[in-house]
Amino acid sequence: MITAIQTIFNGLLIGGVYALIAVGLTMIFGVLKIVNLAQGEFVMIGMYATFVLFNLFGQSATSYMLLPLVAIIMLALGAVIMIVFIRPVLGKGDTAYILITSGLSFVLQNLAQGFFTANYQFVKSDIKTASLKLGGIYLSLPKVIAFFVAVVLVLLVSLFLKSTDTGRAIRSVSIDRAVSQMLGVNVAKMYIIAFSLGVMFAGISGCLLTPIYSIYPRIGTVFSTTVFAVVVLGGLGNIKGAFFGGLLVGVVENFVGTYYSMNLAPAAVFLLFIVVMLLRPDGLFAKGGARKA
Amino acid sequence: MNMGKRLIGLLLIPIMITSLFAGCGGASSTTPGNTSQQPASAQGGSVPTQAEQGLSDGSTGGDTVKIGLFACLSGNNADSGKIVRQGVELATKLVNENGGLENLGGAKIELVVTDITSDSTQVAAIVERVLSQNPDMACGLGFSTSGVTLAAISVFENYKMPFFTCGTNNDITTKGYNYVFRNVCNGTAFSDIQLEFIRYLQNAGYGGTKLGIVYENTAYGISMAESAEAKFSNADGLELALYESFSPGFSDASSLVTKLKNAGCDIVIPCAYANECSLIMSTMAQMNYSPIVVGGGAGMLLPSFGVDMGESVNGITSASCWNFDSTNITNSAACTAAVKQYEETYGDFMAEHAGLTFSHLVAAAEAINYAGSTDHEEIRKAIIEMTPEWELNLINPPGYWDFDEKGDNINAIALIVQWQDGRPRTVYPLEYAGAELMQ
Repeated sequence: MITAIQTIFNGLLIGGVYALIAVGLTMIFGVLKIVNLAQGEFVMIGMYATFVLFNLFGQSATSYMLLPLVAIIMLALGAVIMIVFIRPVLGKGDTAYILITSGLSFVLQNLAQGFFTANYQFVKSDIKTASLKLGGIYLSLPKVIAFFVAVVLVLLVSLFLKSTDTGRAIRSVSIDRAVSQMLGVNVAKMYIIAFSLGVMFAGISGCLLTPIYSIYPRIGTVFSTTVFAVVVLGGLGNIKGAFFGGLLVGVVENFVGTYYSMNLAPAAVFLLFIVVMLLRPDGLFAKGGARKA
Repeated sequence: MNMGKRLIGLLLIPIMITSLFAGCGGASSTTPGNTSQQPASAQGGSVPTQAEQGLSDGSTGGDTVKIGLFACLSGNNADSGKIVRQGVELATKLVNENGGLENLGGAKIELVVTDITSDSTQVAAIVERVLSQNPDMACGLGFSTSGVTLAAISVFENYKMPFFTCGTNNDITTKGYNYVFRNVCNGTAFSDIQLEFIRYLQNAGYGGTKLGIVYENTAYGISMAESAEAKFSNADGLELALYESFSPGFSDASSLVTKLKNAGCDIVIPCAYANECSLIMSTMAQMNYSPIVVGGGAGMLLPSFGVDMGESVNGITSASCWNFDSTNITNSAACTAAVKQYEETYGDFMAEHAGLTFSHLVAAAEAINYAGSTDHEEIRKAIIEMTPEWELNLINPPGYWDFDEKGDNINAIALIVQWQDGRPRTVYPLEYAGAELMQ
């Protein structure tokens, strides 16, 4: 029994990590209808940004203290990337989006390797091996923190999209770009905001992951494939879907890894993905309706 | 599109092209220790600079002998690749500074450095390209992992060029290849020493009877694990309670650690590289699980593992092919000086892969000198037939090497190291120990 409960909690915690990265990805898709193949690399950039700031401040700050700075840097980076790389290909079709974002992914990896070398870098953390004890269950403290930040982010984003003018404008653009434009919404500005927020969330994820993982140019690839499955499972463009999809994937991965084989765990996740796609092609939490180009 | 955006786009093209090459490998030539030339790598540069990205032009340089250094300088194994390069560059510098290859008119060694990436699917093509462009290359070395070694073996066989590897997979020297050599023990030797050490701990009252072997499903991990399983499944007083593989590059070790705990394993043998080892060990600490750990080398011996784990690394043990403080080194003035010079040059202790590739370069140099020729067959013959005399060849435990026809150093032994104060110290066998076992 204890094993089953530990496995559920392990799954929820790593699921929270997936959800953290998936929220940004689904936001970008929801508004711009772009599948961003460079999202893992934005996580990597967030980790390196944390590393640079950590050393700039004489290794005296924790990665959590650096979170606001990392968020601002990544927000600005997102805006630049949107304006320079993405905006010129908007409306050119899915192939253009795939090519530009996968090219960007490759460029970012190589730029990181050029600046930082391929060696592993670390942000020292006093809580790397720390855990919370609940009865006989142990919860990794860095993952607990990442989980709660994921919850807060989802709530904040949902609140932003529902209750602010900008959020409502972003939602209207995601529903129908042409009509939004006719109603006076500055579509170009909404695209920049949405993309920047997506990149910012990736950067925040990266910052929160530095106590758990070492930093190297290809760290983003560890999460990319799983996070795409999470986003599609939850429903493309659905923020809450991305969150719960992440938790579901984490739990499935852990159950299969614990009770069967770790080698089968990724296969189980994608089997779940296939089953869900066959039964609910729009995702588990989608409200239906065709995606508009 | 307006002119401004077009200009930005045009400006970004060379930046993107440059960034693509920043991360790419290439072959470059350096001659560390040649006082007429001061390349950056002689000062301990760990990554090819932009200037070093050019391909070798194939010239011999007249008074130099080319040796190919094939290292994983990018990708997931870049950590060990950097260390490999450092070990070889230091050895080259020392050989060149001590007069070079006397029987070849004092010729200096010229390294042709190639990034073979960490992707074994690319290795063969990269090695083929470099060998075809450097027909005068005497031999090759580097190859820090079994995966890249197995990918490159057939290329060296085709070119009939001897090469040295750190790979421990048993298949490397048992499939009839004629040109591969390794100054390291194999997977079977690792499991022998692990069993010996566990018995030693049991006799010393440290307990432990239920074993868990967890390994990455790569050439290295599978070889280590299969050897360990064969050894431990029939060992008296020991029960193999868990034998589990995983794919490298996983994001979460908690299900693996939960399985180990559930199986009641009080001795764990992880066989993985740095990232995965750190994740497994830190997850064990988080889940309050403290078995005896006797690692299968690789990632558990890298400096980055010690840095990543911080103080919690202390006490962890692992099998190893080489360590900087074993008595074969401390009893030799030249070897002690070399280890010290490494630390002063690169700012870190000399890790296993650096020591192994250092020993490979020295072995290759003495063999080429003995042969008095850069002919591949003469070099191969020299490696097998000669008795080494250079003192630096004592750097590999237990001392001077003796290669057989299959390419194994029949004298090679394995050690057990334990992390103490952030450095791995040799603790077993006792006659090679540089420190006492930490309780």
